[in-house]
Amino acid sequence: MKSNRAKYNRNYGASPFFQKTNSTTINALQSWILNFSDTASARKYLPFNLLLVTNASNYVLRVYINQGTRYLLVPANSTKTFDSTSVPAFFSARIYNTSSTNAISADLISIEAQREQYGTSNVIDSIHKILRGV
Amino acid sequence: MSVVSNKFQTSLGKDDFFTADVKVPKGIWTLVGEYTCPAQQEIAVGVTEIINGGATGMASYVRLDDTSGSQLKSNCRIRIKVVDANDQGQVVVEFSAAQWSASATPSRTASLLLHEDSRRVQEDSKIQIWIYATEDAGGIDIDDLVNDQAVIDYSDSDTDINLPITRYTVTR
Repeated sequence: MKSNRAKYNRNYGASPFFQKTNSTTINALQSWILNFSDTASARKYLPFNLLLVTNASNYVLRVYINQGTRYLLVPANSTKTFDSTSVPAFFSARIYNTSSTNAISADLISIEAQREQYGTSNVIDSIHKILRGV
Repeated sequence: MSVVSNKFQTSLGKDDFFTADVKVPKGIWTLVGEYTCPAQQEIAVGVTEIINGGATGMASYVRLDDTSGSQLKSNCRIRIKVVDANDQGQVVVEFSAAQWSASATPSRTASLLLHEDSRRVQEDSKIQIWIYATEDAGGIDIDDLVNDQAVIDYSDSDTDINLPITRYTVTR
């Protein structure tokens, strides 16, 4: 009997997009921390490797990947996409308002994240991870 | 293939993880600091000692005070993670309340005893400390997720970390 199972496999297909927006004002030189590990529906797809950052404010943002020391700059009033070449694994971020005088209002910053569909490179990454541990 | 040439026991202090104040918002896992494994070494969190013929872990100590001098208490939680260089693999090796020791210093009877963990961090991989702070934790008034955060006071002499590790030097 021919299987009518859908081609989509939730383990290996692209994940849905998960979104977070700043619900409160980010004051000058302050940070907003977001963590997809705390979102139950997103947790099983982690780590993400595709990131869409929309900055509708008038100030440059620093996106510290996984709250570490490396950051990506997002210019004012722009949308930037980062794929696995610049963000190999994304769990959380610290969004830093670089303006020394002005706050960023609520709902002006949006982070959308997704785990891309498995391809050759992802599979090698996964196998390599199993083999090497950490 | 790596070959272990030496093995010794040591510990990581707060300077190994952070050298400035760290802001901690309410109700979200936040990175306090990380230590990167040097080249040609492997590190396991914890130390297993033989004392009086029995294997036991070495005493650890974590105390984090905020800028008002209040200690982050047991209703805050801490994770010790080992993470590879690109954050792709993450393993939690210790999960505990933020108040690790009932004494002022590492104590075998009052501290969390950490055995050597089986998972070793290799060069460029990281040992990270994460904290989940809750509202009104030990006198900390965290009202706002973004701007009114608790600040872990690096310069406070009470803020201290003593994380025992087992360090291996390897040749590849």
